Amino acid sequence: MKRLFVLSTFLMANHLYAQKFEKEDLYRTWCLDKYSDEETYYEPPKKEVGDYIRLKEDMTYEVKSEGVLDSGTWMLNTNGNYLELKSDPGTSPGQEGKAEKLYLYFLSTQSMVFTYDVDEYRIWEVHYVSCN
Amino acid sequence: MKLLSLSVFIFSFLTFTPTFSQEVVALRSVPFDVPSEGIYIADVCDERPNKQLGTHKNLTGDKVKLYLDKGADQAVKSFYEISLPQQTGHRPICIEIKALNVQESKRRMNSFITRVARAHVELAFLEQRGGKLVEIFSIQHNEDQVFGLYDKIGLYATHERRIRAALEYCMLAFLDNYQESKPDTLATHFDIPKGGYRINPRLGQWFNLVTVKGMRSTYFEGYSISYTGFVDNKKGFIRPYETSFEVTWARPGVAEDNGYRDVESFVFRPELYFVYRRIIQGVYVSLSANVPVGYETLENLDGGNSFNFVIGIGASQGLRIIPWERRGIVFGADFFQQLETSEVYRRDIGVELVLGINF
Repeated sequence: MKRLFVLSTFLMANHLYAQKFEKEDLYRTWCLDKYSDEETYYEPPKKEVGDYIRLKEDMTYEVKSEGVLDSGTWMLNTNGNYLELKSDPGTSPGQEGKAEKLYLYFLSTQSMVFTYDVDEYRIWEVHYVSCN
Repeated sequence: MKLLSLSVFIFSFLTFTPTFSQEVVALRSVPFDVPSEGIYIADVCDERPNKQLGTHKNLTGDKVKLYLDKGADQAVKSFYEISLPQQTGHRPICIEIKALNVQESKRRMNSFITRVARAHVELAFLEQRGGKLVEIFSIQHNEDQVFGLYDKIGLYATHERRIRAALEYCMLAFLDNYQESKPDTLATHFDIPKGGYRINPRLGQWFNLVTVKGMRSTYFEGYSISYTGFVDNKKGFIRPYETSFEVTWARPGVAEDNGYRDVESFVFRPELYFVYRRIIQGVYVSLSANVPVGYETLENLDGGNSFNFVIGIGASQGLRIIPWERRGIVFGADFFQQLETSEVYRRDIGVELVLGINF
């Protein structure tokens, strides 16, 4: 029941964007800091310690997720307040890259907060801090 | 005279078409970053046969037709002009709007139901080449967003933003593929999928079913009442959300044959797997696998009571027929099989008849 409440209040809040995000603020290496929900903050699990996202100016990225490295291209949708990360296509022909949508909630030169557009992780806000 | 007025009444009832009032959506002027400014939008043509964005319930609960303020062609042109202003030396590009609408439905998310909203856009980009307007790029895009089941207001209030996001997405995709003005230093993000865009232009319709089942098996009989919600999909498996309440009792003779006076069981059936598959419009097959878990109370012939923990595995195959899409009746049948640790049976097979309504 508590989870349902968290889910409903969280989803209710997801249209209350106010900030306009600047692309320049994204060009850096972001280190995974913590997760949060409506109530509290959570340390990342051990296997995610050291995870990062490096967003480069040539619109490519590098990511370390659960210790595994991956790369691809990214874009910012200013009107939709989201980033789209598309991983490089696989080696087999015809295989297209997998796209992930990250809804931005907060962005400064030091900190980035977003949620993944995936049912399993939708209730968590993910906090990254600048590693530079 | 009476007959005439009655026929007039029936005629007007049959020919009645609901009329909806109109509401306009004004696009906010929010500029977005473009990788190059080598182009401007010279003209936008709205090619849609139907110029509305869709019919929706507004915040006061009235059904309204939504339109873009100043017409879609002018609204889209003005929106792009903020980010791509006309300058000398820039190349003129024309846009044809093939589709532009906003939609709302529901779907299952984990063990809950959520609302989903979509802005659907299809644009063609054209350029003068050799004295003729030639299509040089086209794109279809869905801008989807998930909302809480009770967040009608949040969903309705953000249709406008999803239209802007979809328009931005299409323009960024075009610029990314328009080699004439694209800086060499940037990676290509928006590859055109091989075989073209294969997105679903419409969100599936959400069905609510409330059904009563009469059930009879080798050892038990009973009934249940269920709520089922699912989003329609022409292809692939549909994952419905279902919650039900079930009462069963041992059939006459079953308890006695096993040396008891009475047997009652209280069993929940958490699903392992539950899907619908559409065969043709209005006809679905269902498949499920579940884990019956609960207990039974047994009263033996000399009056003593005992208690038994029950766990097992069950499966069912069924058919649902929904002749009227919007609202009407639902009927169907299920066959089921189960293995349980019951004191009176190990294996059971049965049939359920289903009758209910959809809305």
